[in-house]
Amino acid sequence: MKIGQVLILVLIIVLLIVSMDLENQFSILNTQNGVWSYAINKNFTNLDVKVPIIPNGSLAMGIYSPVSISIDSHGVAHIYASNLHDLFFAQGFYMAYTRLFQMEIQSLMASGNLSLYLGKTFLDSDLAMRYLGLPYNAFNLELFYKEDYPQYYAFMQSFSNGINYYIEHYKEPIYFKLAGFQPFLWSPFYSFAWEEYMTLFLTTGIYEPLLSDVFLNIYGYYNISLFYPYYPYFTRNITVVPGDGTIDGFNLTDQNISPGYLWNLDWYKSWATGIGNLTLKNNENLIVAALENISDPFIFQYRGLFNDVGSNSWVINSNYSDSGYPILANDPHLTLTIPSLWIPDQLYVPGIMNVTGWSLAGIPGVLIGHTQNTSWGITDSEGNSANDYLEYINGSYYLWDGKYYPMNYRNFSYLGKNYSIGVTNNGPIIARIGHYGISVNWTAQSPFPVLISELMLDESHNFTDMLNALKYWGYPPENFALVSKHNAGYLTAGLYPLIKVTLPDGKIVNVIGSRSLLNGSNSNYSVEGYVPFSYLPHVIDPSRGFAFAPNQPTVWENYPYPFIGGFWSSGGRAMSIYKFLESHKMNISDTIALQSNLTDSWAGMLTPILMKYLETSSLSTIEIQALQYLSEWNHTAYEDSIGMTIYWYTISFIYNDTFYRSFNENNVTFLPLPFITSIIYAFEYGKFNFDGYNTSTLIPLAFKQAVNYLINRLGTNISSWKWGRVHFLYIESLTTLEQISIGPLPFYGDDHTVSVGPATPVPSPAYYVTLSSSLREISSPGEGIYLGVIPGGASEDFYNYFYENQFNSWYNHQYYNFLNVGIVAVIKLE
Amino acid sequence: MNKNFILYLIILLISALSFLITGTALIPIILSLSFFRSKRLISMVLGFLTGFISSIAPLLAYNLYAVIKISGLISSVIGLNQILLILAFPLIVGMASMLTAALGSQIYLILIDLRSKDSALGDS
Repeated sequence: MKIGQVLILVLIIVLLIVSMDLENQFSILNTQNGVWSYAINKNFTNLDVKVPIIPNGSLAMGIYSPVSISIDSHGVAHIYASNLHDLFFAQGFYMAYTRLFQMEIQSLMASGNLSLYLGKTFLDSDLAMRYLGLPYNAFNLELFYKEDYPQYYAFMQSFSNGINYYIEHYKEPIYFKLAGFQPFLWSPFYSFAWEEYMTLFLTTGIYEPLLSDVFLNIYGYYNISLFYPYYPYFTRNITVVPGDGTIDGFNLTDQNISPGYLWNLDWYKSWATGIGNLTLKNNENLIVAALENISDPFIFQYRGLFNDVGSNSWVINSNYSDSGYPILANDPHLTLTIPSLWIPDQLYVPGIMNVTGWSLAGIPGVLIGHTQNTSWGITDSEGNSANDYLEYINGSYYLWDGKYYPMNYRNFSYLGKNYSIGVTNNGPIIARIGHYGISVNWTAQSPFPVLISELMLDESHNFTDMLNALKYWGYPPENFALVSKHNAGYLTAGLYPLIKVTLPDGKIVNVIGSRSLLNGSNSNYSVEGYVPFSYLPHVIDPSRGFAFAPNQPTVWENYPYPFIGGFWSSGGRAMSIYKFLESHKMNISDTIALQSNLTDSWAGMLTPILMKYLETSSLSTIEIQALQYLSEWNHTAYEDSIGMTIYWYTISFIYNDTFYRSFNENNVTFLPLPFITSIIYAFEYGKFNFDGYNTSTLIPLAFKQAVNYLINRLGTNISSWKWGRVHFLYIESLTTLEQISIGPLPFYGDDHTVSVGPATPVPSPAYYVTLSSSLREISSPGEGIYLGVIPGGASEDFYNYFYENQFNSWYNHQYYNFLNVGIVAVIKLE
Repeated sequence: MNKNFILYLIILLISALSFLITGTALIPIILSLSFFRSKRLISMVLGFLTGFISSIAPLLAYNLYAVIKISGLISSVIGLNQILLILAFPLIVGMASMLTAALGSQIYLILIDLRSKDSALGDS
């Protein structure tokens, strides 16, 4: 045997071993069972699922009778079952089939466990959830249902069983394969955790008072009352409950309190909060530490004081509708993600439930939708349902009415480090420096059967059913737009904690929330009950023919329970909706037109002021041309609008030159910018005097800066300065991968248009819109019309047609009709 | 039809089916040993084709749009050409099969060599 032959043999064997190892290493690319195997279908396909049939009443894994899930060509799943147990099993199965990765990531995020799966990058997010107590709240909520509402807990279990049946019998979604971990089994805890997270996102009163105090400490009461007024300017009496705020004959005046007196008080003073200005100032670092501890840096950063985004809804009475039947419109504004937060579906059990609409991935039932006789929509109500307290702490004891009490502790070990979060009678301590700490008292810390409310809405037959359902809605407080075949109205449902305050004149009043930290060591500032259900803001068949709730005060200044903690939107959308609705009777086409309306009402008020100061300024030729475009602009924010671009950049530089520059100097760039309405008001009445700038110096400067900026960015041809060239929609994938995100695409709208397209104007205007209508709903049960659309689709799989099948319609303000749609796939559970 | 060609088709079919059923490329790789009697270059080519074709076969059943979307995502994340990414696994399996065929061929050559030496010794 020649030595060369042996060497070749050895070489071949080595290479063979290497290639076998490569095959193993590249198993993710295995054409039979690697990532390519997910490409077997582009769309949903028929499935026959063999699920154990179990005896009625059993809580074992299985169903009592066969269930079918028909997916229509719009991607709406129609789930038909003979009982609720099987219905929720099938809904769980379907959600896992379409959104398992999303659900698991969301629940990990909510329960503060993301880092365990995705690495330490997510540690801050996890700790924020744990400081706020989300996992504890979810655990208590589960226990609460198990003990007090076993029937509903059984539904949750069935829903979880459906998810787990999918996990155990079907291939995990491609994202798990790419991320390199397996799905964990679901339990009701995760649904409750996600419910808590959504509640947190929609809760007012946790972040806002802290931000408010930071601003107050730096800029003083004059500026905070000017730029962040208790009630937005220009929006008086126009939303849900017209008039002065009297509700069912009850108001402040009846309590011998003058609204004029009450609303002119400085509610940051110690008589209102129990905390002196010096103590507040001395605890500035503590407040910032608290904000840092509870901010989720990955998904939702500081919520923002007066976050000028929100949602729209309106209802039209039968006597104000062309058809003689009520109409409802709703578009909740949320951070857009792909896949969408929502799953379109219909839940049908003969004689019990027939509801169609949108479910939150990971939570059973339909949250927004319609039955054959009713329809409802939701917008955030913005009034405080949480309060922050300044605690005095000595070691492991907290001070309460002159005595020290031991704190409870939530101890846990996470990623090799031990943590201990103290809890006072007010709530968990979210930050502590020396003897002071800040605790959060939040309605969602106490269990409330919100799920029952949702399912009762899903089963509603008439207006009264819907009102009764909302008695179970605890948190977050939401404005529910409601219509039945013949009635229309609103109810702001939920728990509003009341604080009994002694006014400087000695009178006592129960108020909702605070603008500032409250004294946590004194029972005078503790929560004493909630606004009674009968006095929650509401209206049924309003006499003027319509009502609407775009995150504005729903009641005015004589409301018996003053919203001191009311952090509303600026009201630009409210103004546009009001002008449109009051102009004429409505029909479905008008409703569609209003939902896609792109008029910026505040621009209509501000532009003449800008013009007044600019027309007397010394301008260059190109600045004069730009001014001409601005003067001819009709205040709409279409993609091809040039006036919009010039206007918005001028506003951006106004913010940049004043507030943002100052925030930067004070190292508080996390503070949100003041309302544009506040700026208008200050300009109009000559009150604008911020950090060395006044109206006459600021406006020409900002305009010139804007024109200069636009020349550099878009060139000297002003006719090409279209809004769509600087303002883009970007819907980020849950994975954050650009390749499977949507956009950037030229986008319409701004912060104040009904069809909203907000983007931050500072520090240098980078107009990526990441928040907008998360769904659009238009219903008229009387007419039998149900329209809807989401900016995405039912599936989370990026290669699936239903990943973004509804996006183009959403982008173009078109809708899908929920009725009479062809079926593309049927999943049979039997 | 050439008998050897039919034999090759049978081996290929068995290889492809085994890969489709088991998801592992072990059988195509092992079966490539059976080409040991051919010239080394030919046996290597046959081995490569056996592994490559067997492991690329499942792609025929997939939706092309979905394959392109998946490869587009992964290629942009890891920076590998999209086509190369799709072909990566069949190429590796093809290479392994080619090496098995080469191994068979080499062992065969060595055995022949040993036998010829044995017979030469016997003659003496």
